Amino acid sequence: MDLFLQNVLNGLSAGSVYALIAIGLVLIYRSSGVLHFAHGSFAMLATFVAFELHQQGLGLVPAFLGAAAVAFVLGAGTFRLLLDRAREGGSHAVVMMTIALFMVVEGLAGATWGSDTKDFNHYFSEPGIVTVAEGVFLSEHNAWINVVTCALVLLLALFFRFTRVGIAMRAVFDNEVAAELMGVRVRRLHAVTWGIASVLAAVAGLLLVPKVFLDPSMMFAPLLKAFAAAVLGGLASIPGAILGGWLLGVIETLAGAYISTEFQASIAFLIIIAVLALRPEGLLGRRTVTKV
Amino acid sequence: MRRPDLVRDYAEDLSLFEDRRWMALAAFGLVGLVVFVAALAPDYAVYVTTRVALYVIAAIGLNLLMGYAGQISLGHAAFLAIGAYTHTILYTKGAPLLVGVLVGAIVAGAFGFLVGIPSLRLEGPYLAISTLGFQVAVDQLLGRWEALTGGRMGLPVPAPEIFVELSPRVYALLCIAIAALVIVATYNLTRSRIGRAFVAIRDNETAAEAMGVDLVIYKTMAFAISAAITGLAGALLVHLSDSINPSNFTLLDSIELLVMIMVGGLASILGSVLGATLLVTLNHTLTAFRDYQAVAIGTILILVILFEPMGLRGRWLRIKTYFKAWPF
Repeated sequence: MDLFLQNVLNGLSAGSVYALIAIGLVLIYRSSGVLHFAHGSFAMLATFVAFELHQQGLGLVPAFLGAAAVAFVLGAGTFRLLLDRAREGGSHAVVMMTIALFMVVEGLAGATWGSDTKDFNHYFSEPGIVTVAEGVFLSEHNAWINVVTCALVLLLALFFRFTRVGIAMRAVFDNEVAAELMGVRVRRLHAVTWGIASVLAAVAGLLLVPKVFLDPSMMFAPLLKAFAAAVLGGLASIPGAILGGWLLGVIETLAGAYISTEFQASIAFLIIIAVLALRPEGLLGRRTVTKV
Repeated sequence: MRRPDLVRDYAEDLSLFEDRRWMALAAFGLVGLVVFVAALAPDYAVYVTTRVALYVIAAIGLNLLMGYAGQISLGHAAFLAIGAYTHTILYTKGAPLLVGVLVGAIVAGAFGFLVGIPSLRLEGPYLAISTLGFQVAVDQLLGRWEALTGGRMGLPVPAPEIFVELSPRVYALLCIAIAALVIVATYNLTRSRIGRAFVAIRDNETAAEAMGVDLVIYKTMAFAISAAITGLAGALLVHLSDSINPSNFTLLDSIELLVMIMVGGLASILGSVLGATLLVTLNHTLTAFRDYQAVAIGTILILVILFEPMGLRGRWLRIKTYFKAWPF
């Protein structure tokens, strides 16, 4: 039983990272209808920025803040300069634009930093251990992951409930035209949404990096998992993305513990296939009816 | 016999050649290519030309699905892989080359049909994710199923042989011939009832259905035909090296196919040919800048999407109109 709880707890920690990335994917999808394949690449880039700043002798907190700022500018700028125009070309153009960004960012990162992996251990990766209950432990790193994720989710919830920008954002999610008619600057809000989403992804990258080594393709597998999580929860639902992330993390860890670790990598895709076949709108999504 | 500027029916609008001059030019070009490959070209150019011909086939396959039928696929390299592996396994067991290639295409087509089934319920982003999942799943399966595929080590490929062993030049000619056949066949397909049904589905699914296009049949058919054509290219690709392994058919290869048709021009056979030629040639000339290859391709793609949404073909059409209407 303890072992089971232990696995669930570890799964939740893995799932938190997926959830952070998935929230960003959902935010971007809901605001501008873009499926952002370069989301992970932006996170990777931000993590590298933090690493470089830290190498230059900056403290960890300023380095993290710098990375977050870069991520925000990168996300908002990408929408403003590229995606907003690509949207006019139809859905294929949009998907291809994010794929092109993926190639450019990963390619540049690979050329700049090389493909040899680097260690980036920071204070999220303290080797200490937290005892949760008798016989159930959490590494300090995983504890940090869970705490930071929960804090961010809470902040995001407050942001959407109480701030003007958050409320305007929800209005844009629901009905872009109506929001625009009510005086919301829709394009600017899209850009801000992209920025926030990229910051969340950057946090996910920083939380993950002590576990996986810093290299240009470090966020690719987590991005695929986040897609699975977003689909599981419903691609248009933020609570769904969080739930999906945690569920995926737990299922994956349990499958790794009780079935086989070989099988662990494929589970995300089994979940995607199962969800799309049985309930395409996801666990918390609503079925939408399009009028013709 | 110049085509009148007034187009009177659909077949005329989509005829393969506008008039005899273009037909003569194409024939001349084909003969020139054959002479070049058969006698003049250095070995490396023969190799590159073969790759171009095969990627033209693959790009046409993808364009049929994405450009004409409007269904996105991020997993077309998986169909290349299925065609390649099926052919290699059969060919190693002693099947004749062309039979192996044909079966490879058919098996890929069958998988295409299966992947097409979810497309009946899914649209846009969901389809992108599920085809992406298919790509990664095939990649992992090929790497793990060692009894059949040799795992990450891959499979050795015997030299191509039809009665006698084919030299690279002869093999290049065979590939060019097949590519030409595929071009003509898909051209005719796109002007047929089936091609028009694909376009109708792309433009408005509901309207197409109301006009009597059976979505179940035509959508899965689009996937199956597209996958079969791509599988054909995959099966022929294996003879360009002496072994295949899963790293030949990754997500990046899928993306490369997508870039080919976006850069060349969606819903255009000419576009597929131009795009595939450009990309493959770039891949083999930019070898000195390996590190920046992905960056270069990505940048080209971004520029094309922003400034030339119809791709090289759009540019070509504009140049042609300019000269046709000159001096106006």
